[in-house]
Amino acid sequence: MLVEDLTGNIVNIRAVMKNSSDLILKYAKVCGIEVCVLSCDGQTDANKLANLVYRPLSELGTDGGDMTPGRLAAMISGELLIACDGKSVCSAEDVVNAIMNGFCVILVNGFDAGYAVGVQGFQTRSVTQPENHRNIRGAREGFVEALHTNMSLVRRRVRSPELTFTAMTVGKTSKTEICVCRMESADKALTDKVIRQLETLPLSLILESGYIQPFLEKKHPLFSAVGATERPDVFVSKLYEGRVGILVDGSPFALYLPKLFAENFMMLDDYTEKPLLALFVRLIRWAAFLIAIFLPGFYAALANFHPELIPDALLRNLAAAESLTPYSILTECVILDIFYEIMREAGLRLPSNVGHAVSIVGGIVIGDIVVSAGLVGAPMLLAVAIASISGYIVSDIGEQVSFLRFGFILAGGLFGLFGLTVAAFMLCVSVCSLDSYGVPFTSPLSPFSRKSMRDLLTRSGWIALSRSEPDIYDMNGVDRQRDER
Amino acid sequence: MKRTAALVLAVLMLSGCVPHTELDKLGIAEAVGVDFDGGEYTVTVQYFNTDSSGGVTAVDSSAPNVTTVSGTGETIESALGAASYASGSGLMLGAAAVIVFGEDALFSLREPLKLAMSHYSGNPRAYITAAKGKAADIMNVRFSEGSASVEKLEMLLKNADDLGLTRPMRMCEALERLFEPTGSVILPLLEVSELNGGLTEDGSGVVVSGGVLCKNGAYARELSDMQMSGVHLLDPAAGSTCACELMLSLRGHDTRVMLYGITPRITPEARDGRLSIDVRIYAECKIVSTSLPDPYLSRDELDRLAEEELCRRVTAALTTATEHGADPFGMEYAIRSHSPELWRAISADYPGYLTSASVAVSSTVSTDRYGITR
Amino acid sequence: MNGKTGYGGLAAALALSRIFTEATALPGESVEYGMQRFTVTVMSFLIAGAAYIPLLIAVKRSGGSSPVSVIAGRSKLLSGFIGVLVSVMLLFCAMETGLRSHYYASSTVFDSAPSLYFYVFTGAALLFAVHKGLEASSRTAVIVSAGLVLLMLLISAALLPVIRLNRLYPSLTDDPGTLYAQTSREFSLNCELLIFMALCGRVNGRSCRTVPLYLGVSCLALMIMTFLYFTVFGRLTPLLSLPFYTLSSVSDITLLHRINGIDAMIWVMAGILRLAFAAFAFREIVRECFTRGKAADVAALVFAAVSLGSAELFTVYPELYSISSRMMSSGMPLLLTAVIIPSLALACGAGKEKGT
Repeated sequence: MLVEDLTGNIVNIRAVMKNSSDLILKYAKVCGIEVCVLSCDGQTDANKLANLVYRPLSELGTDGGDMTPGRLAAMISGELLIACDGKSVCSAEDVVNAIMNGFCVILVNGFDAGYAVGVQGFQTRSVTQPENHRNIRGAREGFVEALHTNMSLVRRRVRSPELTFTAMTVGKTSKTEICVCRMESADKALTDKVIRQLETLPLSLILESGYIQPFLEKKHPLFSAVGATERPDVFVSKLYEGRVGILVDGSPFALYLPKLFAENFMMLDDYTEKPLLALFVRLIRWAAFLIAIFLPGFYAALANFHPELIPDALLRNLAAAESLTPYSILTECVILDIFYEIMREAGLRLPSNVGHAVSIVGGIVIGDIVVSAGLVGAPMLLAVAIASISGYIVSDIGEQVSFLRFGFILAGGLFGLFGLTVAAFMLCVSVCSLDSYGVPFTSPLSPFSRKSMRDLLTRSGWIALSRSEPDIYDMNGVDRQRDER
Repeated sequence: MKRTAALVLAVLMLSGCVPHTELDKLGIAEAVGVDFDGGEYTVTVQYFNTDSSGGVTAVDSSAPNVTTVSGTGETIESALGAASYASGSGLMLGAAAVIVFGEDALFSLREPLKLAMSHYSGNPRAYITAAKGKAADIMNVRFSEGSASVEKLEMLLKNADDLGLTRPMRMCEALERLFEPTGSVILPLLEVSELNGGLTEDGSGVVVSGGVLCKNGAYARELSDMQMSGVHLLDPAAGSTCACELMLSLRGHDTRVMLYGITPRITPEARDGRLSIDVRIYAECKIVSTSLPDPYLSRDELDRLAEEELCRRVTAALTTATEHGADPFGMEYAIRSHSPELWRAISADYPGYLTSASVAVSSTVSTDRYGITR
Repeated sequence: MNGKTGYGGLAAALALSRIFTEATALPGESVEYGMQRFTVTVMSFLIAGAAYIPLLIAVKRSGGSSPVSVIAGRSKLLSGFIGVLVSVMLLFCAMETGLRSHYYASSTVFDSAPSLYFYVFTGAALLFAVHKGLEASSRTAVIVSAGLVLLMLLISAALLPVIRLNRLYPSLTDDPGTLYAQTSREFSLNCELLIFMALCGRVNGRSCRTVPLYLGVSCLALMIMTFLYFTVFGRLTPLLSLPFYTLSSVSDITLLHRINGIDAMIWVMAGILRLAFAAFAFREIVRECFTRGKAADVAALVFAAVSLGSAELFTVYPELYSISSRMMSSGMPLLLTAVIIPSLALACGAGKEKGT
């Protein structure tokens, strides 16, 4: 607790902050009483601090008159300092929390409480187009690292009390601010459950929304039933469907849950295109996903074990190409896939100017030379290249696709179509066993919901879509399962 | 993590149990010839030779790229094994597109075809043909154009079918015919001839020269080109365009016509204790070329000429088959469908009823237009 | 491993299981009849529909509980007897499924490895499915069913040019003498009745809808398959040990020379699912009649492993299979079970009401 002695308070606060050098103390005499303004270096806006705190305090003058510490404190908190955000703090810990969050705290000698004024002004990135979720039409705004900016981006899209924010602080050490967002239509039980889970997060440090993601989902080695997006418009659309969203301070990725597998194939652009074109593109995405994970494995299985399934003319071409290479088909496939993954990983982390060089070396030089040198057959290179490019289409699950592709290459190349079948079956069972807060991850495909097909395997026009409210739970078997839980 | 590592290790260890042959070590059989001589089968296999193939990404179609190998054995399987051994690579028969039986090997078709069909890697859509003389002679003709020699053989059969000269028979269909009550099938007959030469290394070529009627799975008699044309008209191949080109003499002028949309209707009846087969054929006709100034003025005459020709061809095919007590046209279905009672009455001695059957063929042709397209 | 499923998911699994038995015939089980097969199919499904009636009444009366659980709640002795009876029949059904899967795999494109390889991998997938539970497996069944529908569409489209309608001839009964034997044989393939009887308590409401849905879909699929067999192969059909596989072997879709590889993939998955559902049914029986808790889950895993492994017994001792098959193929054991157990459940239910 704070005491009336200012020096004692400062000593306490310094002790709580372990004498950290970013604590800034500004002493002044106001109305004859000693006052100290505490702030944290880099967390405040110097202009705001000067205009909202220092100037009003200095205007009171240094002469005391009949001013008492209690009256001065009351004047400061009640009349003098007008800020958007102000609150009383009563303990050294509260003071430290406040200044860490960009407040400045005014302590008056002889008074056992302080007053915190919101003068946040840390450096933030401006709102720009998202790097990973680009679209053709639609807003060019993406979430940034600052929570309050992100909240404003969401609020600007839903100016209705139906959207509610619940702020929380999580992380014992990092004290990260997070915000749970939901629409009125969202399931209350789901929201409560999410909030409960966030409140009991055992993490000390939260640097990214990905840190809290595993605590909100069922354990699965590959897929996550919690979605992440950089786009406020996508985030809002998910909330509108009855999902719960989470914004995390310091992360430009907002989380929403539950997420469905089918959502990996839906993009915002689908809803701005003509339905027929959107449907075509959506089907292409599904096909690309299947090609990305199965094509090289299927190719290796057919070429190694079931050549009679390959069309005659193609079989001759493949045999001719393979006769020029020293390695087995499986070896070629594995080498190429690993090589591609190395290039991808290198391209991701490198600065863009070096990344281009890597692309040229990898794509053109090595890609061409391995075939010319007779190390790898051209059809195999083509199969892996097509699969790799297809993987980019479903970028949200790009890493899963890479892993699965490699697994299926081994299954198909070592055991033929039988191995591929067993592996595909196990993957299917595994994915189907995943659900999130009562919503099956594979719905509405399985359990099948005919109604939901209008915006899944087909894409109805807006006139048809607008006839009923979208609802994540509006599918077979889900309500009952939810109740059961 | 330990479980995953153990699983991966187990999978990798088990992978040693799975036998397979690398694609470039396979001999991709494209055509197979079966001969029978001196109590032994000789199997001649045309297989794709990767060594002679050209470029990196595609097969060089400017050079012949098949190798022929043969093997002898007491059964077809053992002969195939010997051929495979001689080739020095594992022969893969799943892609074989044409299987040719030499005249001497036509004494028992059912078992080898059933074996080929029931094997998981067999190609049920392979063309089954007969060869005049030895099948090995057909196999030794290597076309020097096209990505594979067998493609030429396939095209030969398809073209003959398009022109109404023959009726190609795929393995599953041939086998279906062989298991009908009379066990009859008609196979196109291939012959080595210089007529179709020029595209081969030694100037020889292959032509379709009539067909072979097999009864009870064995050779019964040879059929002429005209009879084969009748077979084509009466029993068009599934998926065939079912057309036929005829050269007619219209008022002394050579007139080439194309019959298309040919639809045969077979109506079996019992008359005086005998089977009576009434066949009606409907066809559209168009004039392809003629030296007559205005052939449309004599359209009825043209129709009549075409009808006569159609009847002649179909009658030739049908009477030849029925004389042998054979039903290679699937008439059994027509009888069952048209009159189940009749089928019950005659099924016990179906070949006998066929031999004594009376055949009546009529046709209706209507000429409508010029042109060479269908 | 616990959990519930929707009626659609269970219907998909049961339909897949029923069609699986048609597509993966064992030697001597080939389609031996001509146009009569259409009649046989319809009749066997009508009988199956009738056999389900007492069961559905019992389920409806008990508010969705399975007849086995109703009996188990009333009499320990009776439930023990019922438990043993149904378990033995389920075990036979599962062993036969294992045998079918193995025979199918070894006769098709998967014939590229020793039996050990089949048992190890199929067993691993089966245990995984049983471990993941009824919910995951029924969802997987929906996806595999979608694959089957696509396969049938592909086959139909690829074979459209070679379909010959003139191979069909009107005949309700070619041979009245064999009609009874064929129909009872077809009916005896409906082991799904046992699975449904055990699992109906695990369906999220509207469990009775499962039956007409799965019977209708299965009957339609079988009629389409029969239609394709006879219009494509005609009289060759009875000679083909796996006619549906041969249909896919004849299908050329340009991208693939033939699609029998996809066909084999679908049926191997369907076989695993059938075994998994038999294991789930067994678990329910154990749970209701013998013991609750983890032991039932372990029993299901053991059942799955044993039923697949002992399918090899049938391969080694074919006479063992023929004896048990003769018993089951009359259809009487299934019919009696379908009548007796629901009747007992109804009697128990009525007795309980009187008692209260």
